Amino acid sequence: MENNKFVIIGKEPCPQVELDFTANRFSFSETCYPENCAEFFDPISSRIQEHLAALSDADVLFELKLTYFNSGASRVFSRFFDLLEECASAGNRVRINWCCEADDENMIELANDFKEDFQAADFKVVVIEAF
Amino acid sequence: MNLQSIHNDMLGDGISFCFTGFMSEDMLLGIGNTLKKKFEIDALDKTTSISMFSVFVEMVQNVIRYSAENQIDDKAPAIIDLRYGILSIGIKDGRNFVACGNLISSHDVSRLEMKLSKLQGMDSEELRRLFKESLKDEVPEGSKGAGVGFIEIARRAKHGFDFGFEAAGDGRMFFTISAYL
Repeated sequence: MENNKFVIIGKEPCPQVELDFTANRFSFSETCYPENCAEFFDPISSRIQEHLAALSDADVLFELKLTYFNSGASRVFSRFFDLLEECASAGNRVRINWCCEADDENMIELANDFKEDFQAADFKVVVIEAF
Repeated sequence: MNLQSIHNDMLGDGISFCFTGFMSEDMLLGIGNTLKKKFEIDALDKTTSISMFSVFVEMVQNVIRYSAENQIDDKAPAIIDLRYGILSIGIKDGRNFVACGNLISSHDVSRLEMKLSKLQGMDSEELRRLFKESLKDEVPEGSKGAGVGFIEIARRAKHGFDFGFEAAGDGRMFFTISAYL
């Protein structure tokens, strides 16, 4: 059987990545600030992009639980969000959980900024006391 | 070698941490962890400590990326120069600052000056919008980075930022940027 589950253990400056292509669950946690974001993310992004484009009538969960990420990673996540919104517009049920720690005002503000862009996907800013 | 007088000068300028030398990703990780510990000891609130860390990362990665983008030969003296920088952290007039300096080619001065002056003139709402718009821009050919690092610095610098250029000879300028948080 094809292996559809991948975990990349987080090691600074790269995030912990969990990709489950059977359950359509994708998560990025810890911190994310590689100097060359494209090099780290390109293989992951292309695989997710391909997978999302092929889905129909599916449930998708995309979760961010990061304490810090750099501007390069913001660009990557912004691209993911576009793909997820497209996937939702195509009739899939897409949920995005952006988890923020309660005392991280900037992260909560940024998450709310991104929330504005979603119509089809269900984008939630999830405030947690502490990770 | 009078390190004590350098040390005293730095303390006089409110500098509590300073690194000078070649900047690399390993150096970023090592110093980053040291700074996180320092912010903990200083009992900085979370918003400030993450912002300080963020500004530090964007500044150092700008230097690393800039040298990489101008790379022709990894060991060419011209390239090694471009990796050389200074980074300092401290408190001035009651405000936290992160400051960084590095050598750049004089050809890049006007482009940088225009970009940074524009950011200086923007309020937080304008910066917020520009940041989001810039995430959607195509990455310039040959650029590894997001190109939004300076916007991120401007957003995090609640008390503004300043910058300057000084001639360093040989077609080079010494570029400095200081962010106040």
